[in-house]
Amino acid sequence: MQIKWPLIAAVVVGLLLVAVALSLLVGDIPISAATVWDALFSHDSQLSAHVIIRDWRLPRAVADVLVGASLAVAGAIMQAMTRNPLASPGIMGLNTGASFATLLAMVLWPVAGRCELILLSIAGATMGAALVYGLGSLSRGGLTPVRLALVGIAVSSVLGAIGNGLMIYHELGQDALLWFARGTEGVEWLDIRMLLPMTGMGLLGAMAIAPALGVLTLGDGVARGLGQRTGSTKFLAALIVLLLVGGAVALAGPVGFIGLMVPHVVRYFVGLDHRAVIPGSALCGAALLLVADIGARFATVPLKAPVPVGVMTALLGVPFFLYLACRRPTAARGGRL
Amino acid sequence: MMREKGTVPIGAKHPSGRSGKGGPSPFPARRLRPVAVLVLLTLVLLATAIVSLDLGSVQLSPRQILAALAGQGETQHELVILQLRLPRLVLSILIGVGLAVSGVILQGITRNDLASPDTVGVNAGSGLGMMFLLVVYPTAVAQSPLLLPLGAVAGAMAMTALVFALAYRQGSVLPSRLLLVGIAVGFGAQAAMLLFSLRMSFSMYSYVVTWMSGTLAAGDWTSILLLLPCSLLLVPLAFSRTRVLNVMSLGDYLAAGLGVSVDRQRLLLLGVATMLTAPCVAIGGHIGFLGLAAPHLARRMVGANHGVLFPAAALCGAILLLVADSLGRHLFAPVEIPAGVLVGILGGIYFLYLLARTKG
Repeated sequence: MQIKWPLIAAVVVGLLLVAVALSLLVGDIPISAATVWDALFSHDSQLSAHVIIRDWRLPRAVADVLVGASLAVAGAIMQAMTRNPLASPGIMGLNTGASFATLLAMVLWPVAGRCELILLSIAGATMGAALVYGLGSLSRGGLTPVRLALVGIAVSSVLGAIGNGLMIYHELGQDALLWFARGTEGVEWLDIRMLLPMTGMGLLGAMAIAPALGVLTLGDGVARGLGQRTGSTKFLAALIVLLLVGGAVALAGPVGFIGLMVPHVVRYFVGLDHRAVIPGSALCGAALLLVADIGARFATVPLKAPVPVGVMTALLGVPFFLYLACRRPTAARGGRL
Repeated sequence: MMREKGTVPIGAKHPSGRSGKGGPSPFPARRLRPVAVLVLLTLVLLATAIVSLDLGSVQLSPRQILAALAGQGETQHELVILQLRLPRLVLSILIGVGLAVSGVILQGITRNDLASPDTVGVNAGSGLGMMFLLVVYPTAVAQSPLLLPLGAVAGAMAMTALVFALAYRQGSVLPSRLLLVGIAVGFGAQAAMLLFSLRMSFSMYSYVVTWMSGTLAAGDWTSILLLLPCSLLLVPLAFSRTRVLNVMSLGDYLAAGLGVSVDRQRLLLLGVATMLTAPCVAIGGHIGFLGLAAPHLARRMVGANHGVLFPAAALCGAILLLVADSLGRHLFAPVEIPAGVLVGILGGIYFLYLLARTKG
């Protein structure tokens, strides 16, 4: 496998660059490649095409890269930490927490703008994760992966139910749906500037703990025997997942499937060494979300309705995941869910 | 008897000598307590049912309720009791039992704590079937109200069949593959539902959201007639598989070694669980958390022996849904909070409490 890595890395980086370029080229208004180049490197704010590229398509592409990379890396960390192939950021209560805070804000503070909603969803995600971890560690016998998953589902159920109740009682309807399904459409530079520190720290942190994660996948006992402080590694990992997913949810709403799927695909190619899995997941996640977003822009025209990027990630991801699940009966080798 | 002492589960205080006629049951030590729990749960269910009949905007005395039930009350009281409150009471119990029993089956055959009816695609399929009808054939749906539940049942069956087919390999359905496939298909269905919901009118979307949160507001005797045959047929069938499920909890190899035809029984039980859930979901909406929580609640009360786990879970499910539905009608009186919302909140909180209190 060692020899293949540079090749795989080159292919993935190449794909990512192509995807970024396509994402700048494709859109409702046809803009030539030369104009895109000019808009990036000799910008003229008098020309509308240049403004479209710099203030609409470029931030959207950057956001796609950040969100895709964050979700995929968070998924890889979760799957390694819980030794569960089905773990995804969703079970930590981050998504429900963010959605809950946003719904609450829509009810109590209807004038809240984009910026406030983003900050609130970070707060909500933190609250959700704190609830799950806090309640999980309260219990006798400590925080086992299965217990974490169960507590996560229970907390999600409570928060999701309250959110649903609010939505029905206050007749929020499709407003809330549109906000959650917005994806990276309409992302502004300000949003990215707000969230970049968080996401950047998360990604760097993930790279830093990658070797420890690899050891952790061997099981708690082995990891401890090899001299790892499993408790603090898991705590750090959870903190990093919070940074990554909190940022991603705030930027683009809950985008499903990337966190669950990308790590599987990457592990399939590079094996279980997390020094390769983490950066690989980041690159593949970014490329996948870019492609999905481009697809969503294409699909909107014939369907005459907004196509959320989550629909596209599912469209790309479901068949591949099915293939993986059916091809390898050992896909669940992490043990019991 | 002495040899069984070593196998007493933690927390069972009774000496194992009680299990005199226990025979080959793998769970010998817990005889007395589960029965007491079952009796207690039945009493709670009865009490909840009585309170539920009493709650509502029309105040009735117990005597008036009894008279109405016997068909000798005033016309208005009979209308309230027999046409409004009683159907919902019966429906809550039927749906609660159905979802809880199928949850027990699914957690049993997959040996997975997180399995529930929605993991094999029942919820996704029913939602998709219903939304498809609403968006593509809105006029037909408006003309015949029975079309929607039928569409939901058809969707649920189709989706579960798809999940089975994709997970089926060489005569058997492996639990791990079933769950993976179920999750993947569920994601796909969710995406499709998102597309549908963005194309709906505001009022239609509100209706769908209410249904998706799980509500019994549309409950009447017709829906009970749809549901009752399924429950009467399938719940006893599930109860008759107690021994098979107990043995299967030891693992596929041991179960096969003990003479259970694992693959066939698993397919049969999967079929039972689906057929039981599909009409429940079609009528009551996605009260999915019930199917996950009720078996867990019951297991933490009576242990893992399916002989007592089945009735205990069924009672838990019925009580939980009944309480949620009654409270939902009553709490914010003119506006009705869907039962599913309250099941999520109440069940979730109690579930968290149990998780915190018990070990492992």
